[in-house]
Amino acid sequence: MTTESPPPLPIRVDRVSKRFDKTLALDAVSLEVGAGEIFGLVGPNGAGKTTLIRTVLDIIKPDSGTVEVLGHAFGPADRDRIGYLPEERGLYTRQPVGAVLEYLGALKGLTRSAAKAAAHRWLERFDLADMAAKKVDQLSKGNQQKVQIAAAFLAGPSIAILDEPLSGLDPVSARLVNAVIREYAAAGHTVILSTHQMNLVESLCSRVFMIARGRRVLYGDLKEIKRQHSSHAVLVRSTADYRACPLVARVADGPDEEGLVQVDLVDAASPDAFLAWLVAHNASVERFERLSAPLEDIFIRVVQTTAEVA
Amino acid sequence: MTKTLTIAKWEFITTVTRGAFIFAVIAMPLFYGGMFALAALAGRSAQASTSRAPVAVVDLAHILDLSFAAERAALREHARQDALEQMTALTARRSPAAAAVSSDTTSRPTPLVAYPTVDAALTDLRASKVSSVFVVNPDYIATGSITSYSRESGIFARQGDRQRQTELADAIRASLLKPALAGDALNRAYAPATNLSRLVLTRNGDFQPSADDTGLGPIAGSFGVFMLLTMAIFFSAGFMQQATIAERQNKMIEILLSSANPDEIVLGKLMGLGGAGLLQVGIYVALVIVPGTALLSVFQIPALKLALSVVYFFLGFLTFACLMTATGMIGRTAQESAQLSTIWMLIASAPWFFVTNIGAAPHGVLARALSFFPLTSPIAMMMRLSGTDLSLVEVFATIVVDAVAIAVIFRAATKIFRASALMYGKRPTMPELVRWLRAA
Repeated sequence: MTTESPPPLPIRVDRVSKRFDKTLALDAVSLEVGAGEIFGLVGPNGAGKTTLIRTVLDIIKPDSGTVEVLGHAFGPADRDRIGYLPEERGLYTRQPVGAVLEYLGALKGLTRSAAKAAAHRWLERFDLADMAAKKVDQLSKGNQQKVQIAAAFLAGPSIAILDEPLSGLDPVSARLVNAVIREYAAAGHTVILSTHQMNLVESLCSRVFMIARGRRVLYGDLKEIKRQHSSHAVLVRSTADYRACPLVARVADGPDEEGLVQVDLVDAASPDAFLAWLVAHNASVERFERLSAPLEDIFIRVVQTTAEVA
Repeated sequence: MTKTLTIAKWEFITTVTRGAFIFAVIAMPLFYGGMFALAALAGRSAQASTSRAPVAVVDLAHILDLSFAAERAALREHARQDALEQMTALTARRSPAAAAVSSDTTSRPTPLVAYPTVDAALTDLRASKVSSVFVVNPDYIATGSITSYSRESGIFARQGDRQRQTELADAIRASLLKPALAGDALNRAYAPATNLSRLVLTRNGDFQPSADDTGLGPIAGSFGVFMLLTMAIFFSAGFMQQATIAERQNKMIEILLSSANPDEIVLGKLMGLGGAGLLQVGIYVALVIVPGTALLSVFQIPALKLALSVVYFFLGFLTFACLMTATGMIGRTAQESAQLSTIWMLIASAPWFFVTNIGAAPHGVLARALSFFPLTSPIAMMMRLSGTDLSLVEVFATIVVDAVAIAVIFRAATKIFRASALMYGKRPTMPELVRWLRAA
């Protein structure tokens, strides 16, 4: 009987620190990203997201700590295994789109024919097949953005790191890019999404890492984080008189169009205890829903708390 | 190495297919060729017009025998023509094409016409029948007093004036010598150095005819070829700076750094852009020297010197290309980088400021110091090689020094490339630069 060892983690960052002059950009940051995962990297401006990404890509060397890619310390060959869309967008504006993609594919280790085929395939995927011969500066900003995203996926890397992939895209293109990201992860690849768009993180990511002032402030399963940071509020449709319950702090004025009433609980109470109280008082509960805080609210609250502590 | 070659190929192809490159390759030779042709035509035209118009001479001192002077001038001109034909024949044996370049460089003497009075001469000057009037004053023998009248003024008239003065001086000398000397003695006194043979000392201690005795002027021979190579260094290295600046403006550096390490990127760029620069310079050199191979044979540049010059050319290119790369990364804008890079140009040009000193003492302290300082070494060594023979030990030592310096500069350039690549729109401070260079 043989025991199969688990596949190596695509990314493992262990207590990585990096200082620029007097600024501690990364302060003993640790995280792990699994295969097939869409991982959200969020944080306010200047929090250290880009430094963390550049450290993973070996563009910046950490002062201390280790970075492992696909189970080993970063090596030269790992550059070919990571696709990257940097926040600072750039392309060779005077060159044809197809030629630029072929060049970037070749730099990721593809043969000339493979790079050409991949460029064609990805341009088609982004509805840009007829733009291959055009010079980059003849494309709209949005289409240039799609070309850059295509460049990140071009060589079929095990890991794709996308920094603000949807900025500047119209809703149709944004939906297309969302679909591509989902497909890519579904095929077993890892996608790291760095963004300020919390709705994007909520719709795509299974786990998140929030960084503020170089430190990890949130990390883990997105649903669990939202549950932990949700207010003590529930939406209920039942026959009970909520004001009679000692666990209730406030009841909203009236039910919504679905007949649901928002009930705010006192700090010491939990939704589970409130549900138990309803059952114990023979209320007919038709619907009971924990009110989840939007990630954006959690983000703002955590960032403000971090700033106050600092 | 594969990524280096991929980058090199991309940089080369995108550069040589750029409109600006093609325009520069085609337009610059056409422009300079046209300018040289215009200058030559204008020079010939001016010379022709000068020689067509005679010079009026009013001899108030009664010393001139203009018919005798014309006879002497014709004899001297004949001797000069003989020497020129011998040189052309020598050149033609080495290269027919070069003979075409070196032939037909004669200038005919201006005819001197005697006038009885100053008024008559000035009347003809006003009527443009003569180009100028010289009045040899009555007290000439005692004082040397001559009065000149001319229609032309300004800096561009000086060459014609000087030529006419020489003609008059020759005529006076011939006339004054006539009563004192005769035959060959008179010929030698009149034209003492028309048949000069130059011999130079060789490494074997023998004296051989000078290889530069082609009459093509001071930039001919090996010195001219090596001068072209030194210019080529700056052409090629300049490409590297332009491309680095463009890369920064395109914001492609971070994508490149995520695909290849800084050494691969900088080396690939050096190869690709250096190749493009060399192609451009090669085309220029070919156009300038065409029929180049023929001229090389005329100049009789020793193969070893030529090979060593090419080695120093590459050392110079690598040195300055690396420096230009780093400078291109430091500046916030193309203009700022270009301004910063002038310091390298000034340092590299130092040997040219001392060209006379190096020429006078090619083995002196100054020449050697410039040869062992990496930024001036390639050009100083090419300069010295063009004028003298150098010991192979010294040549080898300078090549080693240059190679070590290139390795150090390359390492520094890649460090600056990596660190400054991510500083969009910000110029690093000196402490930051020092920190990057000290970083592992």
